Amino acid sequence: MLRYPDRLGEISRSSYPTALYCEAVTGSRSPFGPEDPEVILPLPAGMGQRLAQRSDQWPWSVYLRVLPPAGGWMSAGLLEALADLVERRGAGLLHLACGGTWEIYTTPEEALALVGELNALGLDVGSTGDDLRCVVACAGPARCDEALVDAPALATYLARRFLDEQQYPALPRKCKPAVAGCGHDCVRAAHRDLALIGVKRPREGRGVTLVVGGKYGARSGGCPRPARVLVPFVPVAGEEDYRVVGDLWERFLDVWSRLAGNRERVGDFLDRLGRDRILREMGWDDRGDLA
Amino acid sequence: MATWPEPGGEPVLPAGLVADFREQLPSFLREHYGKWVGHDHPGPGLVRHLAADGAECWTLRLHLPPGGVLSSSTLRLLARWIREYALVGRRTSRQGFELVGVDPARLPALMEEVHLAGLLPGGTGPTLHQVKACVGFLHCQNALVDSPGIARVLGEVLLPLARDGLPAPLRISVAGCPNDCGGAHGADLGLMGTYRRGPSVRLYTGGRAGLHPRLGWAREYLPAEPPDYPGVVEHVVDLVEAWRAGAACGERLGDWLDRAEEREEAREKP
Repeated sequence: MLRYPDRLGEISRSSYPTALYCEAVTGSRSPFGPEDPEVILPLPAGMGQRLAQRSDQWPWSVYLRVLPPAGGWMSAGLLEALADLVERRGAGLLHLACGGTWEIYTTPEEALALVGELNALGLDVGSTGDDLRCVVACAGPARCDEALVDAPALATYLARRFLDEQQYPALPRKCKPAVAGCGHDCVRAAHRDLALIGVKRPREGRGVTLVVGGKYGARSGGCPRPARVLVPFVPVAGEEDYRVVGDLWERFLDVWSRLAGNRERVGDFLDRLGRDRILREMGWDDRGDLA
Repeated sequence: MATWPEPGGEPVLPAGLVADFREQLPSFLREHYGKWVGHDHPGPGLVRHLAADGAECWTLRLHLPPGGVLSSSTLRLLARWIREYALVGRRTSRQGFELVGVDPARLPALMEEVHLAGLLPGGTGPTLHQVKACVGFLHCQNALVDSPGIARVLGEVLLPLARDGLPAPLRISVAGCPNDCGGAHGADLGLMGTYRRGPSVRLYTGGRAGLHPRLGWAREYLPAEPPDYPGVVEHVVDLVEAWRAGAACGERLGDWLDRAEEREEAREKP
């Protein structure tokens, strides 16, 4: 009989307290309590904490959120380096999180040294709190025959340009970005806050559609909703066009930061102001140029 | 009360690094960058990409344990498979894993190793894709149900159903609470943890992204009873069996359900 892979096998091969988890499953109750509000973490973003209710089993867990290479690409060397790192300085686990990042569970004592070792591998942490989250992308033209734009390359450009936004939380609310290479949308860009989807038009060639305001969660009175088109077409033939796309993101983040209500997420902001007002504030005119 | 170690010396700031994915790519993929012209599915979990110059790139996609938490030994195992059988790895946007650039001649040996390791090739084409889940009780204070556990149970009961093929791809996502990190709203069949006379999940169907996005349609509440979740399993298996029997080829679960309900409504009208 075929068995579906099981998380229990993974945690039993780590220093994670399996008993804590199994008790939680049996009792249908999360073993983790609220965060300790008095703790000030030493990094502005990329780090979080979980307090277990059974402190005898797992006193205090810090997690690091790592910004991975775009497109999900991982060489054997990278996997081995990560395995070594999480074993020496973490709980021995790497979490491939749904949002596209990696999370590493560790202790307060090891956390900063672990960040230092990640930096030595060319990786960095970020993407927690009210900031721009990790810029996720699909596999891209390295292996995909359907790609209309080079999603991971564009995502890497945007991640570099907006790195401060990912590492210093200063936006009204979290903003989850994504770049999809074509309308198949393998990364579900159309469900995220600020996203680009590759498109091809008969006379204008290849480009991206800017869609904004998608979200799943139902917090602060808002409700889940798919993203809507803000700018239908921005031509992207190659790397030389990435700057304009970045300018659009910059203008949008500016307008949102300036006019958003208290902790208002992009989707709710779009509902309140409307597309036309946002485009006007961004200085995006009918000819499709930035004023 | 938790205490953070005393800070010493220099203030800590982010280093400000962004990794370049191109450094992860092997020379074969760099040489064929943007040159792929088509692909097909030679078998379960297999994708064969074809380049204009006749080159082929075989990918083996694997189901990973739902929840996406991997031990260091699994990471090393994946790394070894890349070194011995393939060129590079890739985590998919559904928490699966792909071995890219697999040597087709060595595929049987690789398959053998994958089965021995308890991982599972699959998740391509019209069949069961990686059952995705948020981290749930493993590391989250908000979780109302253990999403990785529910996802694994569903994966297990649906594997035999999906073995002979399904009408269309079936993407299942399980989220532990209404924050929906797991993406229940974005899947063909989503389950989202909630609380309703005890821990429960709410069923969502028909979520999709792309240029015509839509979120999953909220449906029944089902009781979530660990560790086997019989209420969830029974309902989901019935739904998938009915879809498999009644759907047209290529018809996604959400679309079929909408159509079936429209028919039902039409019948009820006099």
